Amino acid sequence: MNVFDNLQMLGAAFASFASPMILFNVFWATLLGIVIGAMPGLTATMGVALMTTLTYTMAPNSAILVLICIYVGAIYGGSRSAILLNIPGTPASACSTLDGFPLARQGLAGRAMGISTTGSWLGTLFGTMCVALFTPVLGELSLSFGSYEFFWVAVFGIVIAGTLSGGDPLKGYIAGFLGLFVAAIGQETNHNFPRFSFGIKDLEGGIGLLPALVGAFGVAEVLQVMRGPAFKVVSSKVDSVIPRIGDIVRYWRTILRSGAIGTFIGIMPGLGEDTAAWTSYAAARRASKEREKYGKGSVEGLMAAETGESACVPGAIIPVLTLAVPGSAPAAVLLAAMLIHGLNPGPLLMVNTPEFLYQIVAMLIIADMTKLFFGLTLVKPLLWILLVPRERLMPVVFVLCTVGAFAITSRVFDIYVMLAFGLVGFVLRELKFPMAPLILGLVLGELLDKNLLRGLNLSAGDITPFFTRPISGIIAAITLLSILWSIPAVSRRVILLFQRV
Amino acid sequence: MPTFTDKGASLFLAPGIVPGFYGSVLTLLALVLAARSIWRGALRGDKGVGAASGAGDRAGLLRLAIAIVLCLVFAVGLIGLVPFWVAVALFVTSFIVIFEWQPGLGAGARVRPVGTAILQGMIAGLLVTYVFQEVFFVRLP
Repeated sequence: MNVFDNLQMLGAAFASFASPMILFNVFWATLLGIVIGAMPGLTATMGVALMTTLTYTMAPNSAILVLICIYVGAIYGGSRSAILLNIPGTPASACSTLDGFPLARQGLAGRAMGISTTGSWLGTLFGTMCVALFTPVLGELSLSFGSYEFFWVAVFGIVIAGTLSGGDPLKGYIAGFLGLFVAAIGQETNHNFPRFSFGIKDLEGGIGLLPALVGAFGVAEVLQVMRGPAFKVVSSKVDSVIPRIGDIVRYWRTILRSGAIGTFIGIMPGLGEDTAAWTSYAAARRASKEREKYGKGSVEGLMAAETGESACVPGAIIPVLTLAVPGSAPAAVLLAAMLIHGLNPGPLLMVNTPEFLYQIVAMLIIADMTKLFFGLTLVKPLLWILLVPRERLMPVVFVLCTVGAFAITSRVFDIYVMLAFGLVGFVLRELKFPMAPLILGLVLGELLDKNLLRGLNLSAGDITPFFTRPISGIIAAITLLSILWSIPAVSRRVILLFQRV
Repeated sequence: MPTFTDKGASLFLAPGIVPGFYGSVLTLLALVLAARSIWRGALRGDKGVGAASGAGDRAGLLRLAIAIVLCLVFAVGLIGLVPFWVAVALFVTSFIVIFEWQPGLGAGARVRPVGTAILQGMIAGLLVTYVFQEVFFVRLP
């Protein structure tokens, strides 16, 4: 396939979305995404999970477009409350509070939001270009993956998510393997033998991903918000939100660097936007000539965080399309939604339906442009939304969670699954266990299960091919090095060794 | 009872292999976590992380307990017992009234907050039911 074919498919993808109804869906979904992201307590994962239910009856492409708009909008919307309330609307926006809020306190809330809009827009655009450029290459590579390689991809996802999702890596690994274990509940794929169902018919069908996600991200969030102190709006005066061209010209290196970092972190399984924002911010600070301004209202710092987190969104979709492995928690829901709608992401995507890749690229560009439009026009109404007290918002969120958990299979059992995951998720969060590896474990459970057994069966129980095949060996080595690096005593000694050399 | 291998199935496709692998890894990780906690002084004195200390913590725990009870009553008790929109209206109204309750207010001062809570509950119940059922054709519990 040549460049002309690719451009033709991209043009066809844009043309297929040029209908009033689809554009109407784009507008409300992006706006809803921004609102969900802006409200502390509502996350992008929860928004995408709830909307998967709502879009269940839509045509597959329209449904995925709506979900991508929600995802793109929510990651951007989180910066609103980060700048104005000093409370990140989504975990991804935590980094934006460092410089966004000080700028707002200096009376520059509008400029901060303008920088956030510019950075976010450029970040998503950069990441989308990477989706178009690298997905076919990675797709080609993934065709050489067999059972042994997919087993290690799943383990690597859990390990890397556990290591880098913030906090204690050991707790991250435990959360990840707990997710894998929960995914093993129900009938297994080879003999339909029910595992851990204890004679309960509903459990034989397994734990639904969406009820579990809605519980872990929605219900647990409701409980956490209700437990914490109420938040207050600090800044209400907003100056001009029109982005300055000078900021883009001055910080073009930061934008490119953060875009590349954000996209790369997105491609890594299970890491997500918060890691992308923090890593981009740290890299920008290291390379900056105005390091002393960081944390006190640095335009460059805010730009780096926003560009990084927004570039991560398309980046997280790349492994979804090539390996059927999510790059972030919202991407995990997006993957589930693609499977629900009969789209088959994975190694064969570029062989069977290459046009789907360009539809995704078109969706991301449309969502990004709509986000830019709302970012520049809807500033005041978003400020009012931030004023809704949690006591009035959270019960409605819980109702939506209940509907979301029930609607896909119409089983009351799924509501109980949601409640259980909500309570367990809340306790795990309180004990500082990260949620991203848990969810990644749930998603990757089937992949690991199937490929471990298939690999063992092919080699008649011999485990050496898991380590000796070239790609498998490389992923295994990176996985083991990641585990070793997460042990403080080991990483300290390696750093000391390098310093001596 | 015949095993899978007795029935001619491959030993390496046995349903217990994968849970066994997860179980082994989880046991190992749990042991490391326990050993590390003991090494860091978990058995020396009472340093429980979850212990409620101040008044703020106690108020937070009370809010949490109320929220859990309300959510359970709605999801396990009300759903299926009454029409969905009624369940939503009752849940939303009671949630708002309980969490916005200010002790010491007179009956007159309570009319407005309780009234708006009832109104929001009714709107939420009807709107959620209408939007999901009629616009998005989603079945409700």
